[in-house]
Amino acid sequence: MIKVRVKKTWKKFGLDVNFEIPHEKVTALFGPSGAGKSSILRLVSGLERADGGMILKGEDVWYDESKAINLLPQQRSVGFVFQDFALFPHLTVEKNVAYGIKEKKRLKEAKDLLSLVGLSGYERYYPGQLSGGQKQRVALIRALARRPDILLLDEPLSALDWETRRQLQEDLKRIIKQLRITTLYVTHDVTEVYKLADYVVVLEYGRVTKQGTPEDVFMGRRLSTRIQVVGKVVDIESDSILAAVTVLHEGQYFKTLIDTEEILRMNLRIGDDVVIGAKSSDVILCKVLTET
Amino acid sequence: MDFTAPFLLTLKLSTITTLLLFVLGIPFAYWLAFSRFRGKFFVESVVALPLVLPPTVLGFYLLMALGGNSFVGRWYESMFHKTLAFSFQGLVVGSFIYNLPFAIRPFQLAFMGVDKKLLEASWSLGRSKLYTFLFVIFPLSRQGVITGCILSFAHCVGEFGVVLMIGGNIPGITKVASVAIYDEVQVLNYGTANIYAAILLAFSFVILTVVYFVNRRFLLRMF
Repeated sequence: MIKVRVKKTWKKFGLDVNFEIPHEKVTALFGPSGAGKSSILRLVSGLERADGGMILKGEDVWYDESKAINLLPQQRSVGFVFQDFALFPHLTVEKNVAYGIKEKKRLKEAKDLLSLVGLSGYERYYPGQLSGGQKQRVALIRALARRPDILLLDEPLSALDWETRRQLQEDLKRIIKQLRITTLYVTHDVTEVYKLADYVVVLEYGRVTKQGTPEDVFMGRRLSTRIQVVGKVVDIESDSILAAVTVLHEGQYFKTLIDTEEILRMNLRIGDDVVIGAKSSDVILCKVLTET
Repeated sequence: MDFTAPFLLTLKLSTITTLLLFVLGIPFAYWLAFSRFRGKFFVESVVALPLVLPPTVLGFYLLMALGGNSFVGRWYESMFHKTLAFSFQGLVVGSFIYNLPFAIRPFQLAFMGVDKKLLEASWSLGRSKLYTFLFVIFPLSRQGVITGCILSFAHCVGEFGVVLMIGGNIPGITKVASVAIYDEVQVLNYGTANIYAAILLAFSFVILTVVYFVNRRFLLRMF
């Protein structure tokens, strides 16, 4: 468990947060841009120093202002995945991955890790020759290669297109679960929170406003901000990505596109009673003009 | 007098100066690039002084600083039993200072041009600042480092005022090619002067062509 209680003030922005990152779980740091999510990652990794507070990793003190302790990034065992990947352009893929490994057989280990993310055969490529998704995978295993105590991901999928993002969400989930690594995941995408996170910390204007499981945190918010239609499922046309679900409501049909996976997860069938919900911000109202 | 001696001396001086600038200039440029020292602008202006000062001014003060009456001059004499002024070693000191901006500035700009994220990535991967410098910053600054070395070498070949002030024109010891040209003109020996001059002209032109050809983009950023 990592405890984070830090304060920091910049010219136009202040951060004052207190939360915990549970052991071997994925914690999402969720909030709009400018809420201070990335700053928290930088403080936890030691790339930036807070003005006050402490960061504790179990018994170890990573940072404690009152005792004037502030470990360098090198002394904290973190794996940082940057938003724009930050791969070393002059090193091959395998050397990028092996960069943080200090044992012998570095390249052998890098090769094994590359096969874990389906990049065998790309050892001698340079980052410039890879696609966005491939770069992301390399950045991920490079961060994991030194077996850090915590993996820090700064909106790792935001630079990628929709299709690649979807694919990588799966890979990320699989790898993180497989390695059972404590993860702090910065995102402003609710779907990513649902897909990947065990816990979520909601951040607004530099303050934690809510924390808990995604269900706990978003349920209230959802109810207050959504349009709801209750009805019966009358049709499901699904392919591998999206399913079109038609719902009958007071004699009217509503057709809506949903993640196929979501349909499978809910085990949805024709004849089931369901609620269709939408964020009110996604609804457009138009006034109907009638002739008089 | 041996015709080639001034050229050999020029080459020797330029090579030693460039090597010194490389060895001492890289840590110095690293400090200038990454230090948060508030008085850095002051150090930077001192380093850049040779760009604007008449070489004779620099040469004059260096002569004062290195001469037998100065602290440095006396210390050097007591250590090595010879004077620093009017010696080859004195020339090296003068050239080093005179060429500082030509090496330091490209080094510093190249180091500063490396994406900060890459340094942070390296640190967060557990690598020290030295390791990060050797394996990330330096390889990515290769262009700037090469440019700095070639420029200071070429500029060293072409220097005149500082060398004349500190070294005089002792054949084989301090009489470099540029000074030799001046000497030949003084005795109205235009033919020999022309040969020296033409060789220096060709040399400088080739060097600059190579530098500009190798990295046009980098130089555009600098000047």
